[in-house]
Amino acid sequence: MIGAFAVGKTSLVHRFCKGIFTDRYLTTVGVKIDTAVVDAGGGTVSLILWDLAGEDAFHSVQLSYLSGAHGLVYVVDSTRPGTLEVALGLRRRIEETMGQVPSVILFNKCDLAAEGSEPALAAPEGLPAFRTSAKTGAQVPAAFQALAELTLASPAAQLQRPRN
Amino acid sequence: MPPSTLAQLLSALESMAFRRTAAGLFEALYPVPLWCETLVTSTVVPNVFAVGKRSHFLSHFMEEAEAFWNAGRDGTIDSGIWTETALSSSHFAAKALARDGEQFLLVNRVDEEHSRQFLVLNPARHAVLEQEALAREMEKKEVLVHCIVHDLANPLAGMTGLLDLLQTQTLSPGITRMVEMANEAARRQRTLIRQILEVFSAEAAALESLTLTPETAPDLRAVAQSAVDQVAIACQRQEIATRLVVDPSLGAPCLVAAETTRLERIFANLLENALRHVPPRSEIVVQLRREGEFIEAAVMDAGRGVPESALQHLFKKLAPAAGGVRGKAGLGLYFCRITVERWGGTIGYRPSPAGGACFWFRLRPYAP
Repeated sequence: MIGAFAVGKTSLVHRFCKGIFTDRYLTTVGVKIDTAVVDAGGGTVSLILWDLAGEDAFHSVQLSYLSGAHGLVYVVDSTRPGTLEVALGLRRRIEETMGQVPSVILFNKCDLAAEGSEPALAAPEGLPAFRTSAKTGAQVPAAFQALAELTLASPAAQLQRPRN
Repeated sequence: MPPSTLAQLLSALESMAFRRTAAGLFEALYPVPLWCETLVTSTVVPNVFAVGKRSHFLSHFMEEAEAFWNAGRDGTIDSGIWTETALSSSHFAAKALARDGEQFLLVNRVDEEHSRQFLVLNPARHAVLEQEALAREMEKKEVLVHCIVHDLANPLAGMTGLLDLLQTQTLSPGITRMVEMANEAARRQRTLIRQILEVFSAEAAALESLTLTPETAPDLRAVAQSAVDQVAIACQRQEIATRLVVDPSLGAPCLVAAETTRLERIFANLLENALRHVPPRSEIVVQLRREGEFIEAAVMDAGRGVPESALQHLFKKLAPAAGGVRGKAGLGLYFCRITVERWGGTIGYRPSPAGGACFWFRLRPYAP
């Protein structure tokens, strides 16, 4: 889970893993790891979710945390256009060092964007996009399931699958 | 220091030390505390633990640490803080060390350090979020006001055009006077519209930081001279003299931390203000001088000055005009204040030595 600070990465994980949401913003320090199970590829897949502290002037995302990642979730705040630029900047840096990794992009806080009549941010090409709300739960399971499917279909995952 | 004392000390600091015996296997240098038991796995060998099987984070960090240890150099690598909700509510950090051919792993419980960082970062990020939200609101407001004000300005252009045409006709003296008055009212309205637009643009700019280069930093002396020249024609009509007095100790160019266009507007506002209040056949003086670490620009007139009762509201938004001048929105001096303050300067009023008003502002000299 990567993106600018306060885009809702931790809230999305809480919503997905525990089904809860709180409006209070509590910044993540370092890395927070949670686990969840989704149905994908005709079976169940365990996701180990690394929720990385957001990128801003005070903190730069440590890309070394991403080595070995099977999938990436870029998170954007739909009400703050600048957070899309942060996500795309991170994507460029990651692809330079790690190459292509199965990824999705979540335009979070879509409930607030609707209230404020914000123009919808355009999803970048080649990234499956989901308009999510950690508050209402909209599209949250679908986004993680899509990531699991993409991850299973990637060449790296094919190599790691146990043989029958 | 006896080894047992050192172990007690490290244990009290919530730091668990292991010596690496083989890839992925570590000998505990003292009994493993409860908080650390969730992170490591016992092996068949007493006091030797496998690291990286229970904790996803440590498993990842071990790959980096093994590469570091295998490189054979002395040094330390740090994992950063992590939290693993399935194992513990505590926060941890690990270090891989290599000294004189021996390799160590330190695992620390860092709840206090986590709290310390949280207490710094959380309010700082809240403040950034609030500032971003405020900037977005200002932007929306600015767009709305621009639209409204432009809509107000469009018919005005038509009106002044028609009045100009009317003035070319042969009119009776009474009608000519009325057309002149209508033109004067239109000019005042145009000034009001310009001031409203300037204030909104300055309020939005106040949320951004000022970035200058030697090429963009304005020369206060040149801007003041240009402003005096521009107001001179209007002054001549009223037989008012204008003069720029520059302290010889000021350098040339005299670069200041400001923006040229807005600085020109500040001078224009202060000079227009002086022109409105100065009696005919007197003088308006613009003075530039050093004032401590600042450079002060002062616009002085020989008018009646500002009454005591008006002083406290002088630079506030929509301040009532001193002397009740018609057609003033009370935005000119407000614009000057928020703009000068954004540049790190100050603005104020004092009675002029000649008995009139002296409006001054102080700017920092430009420092690359």
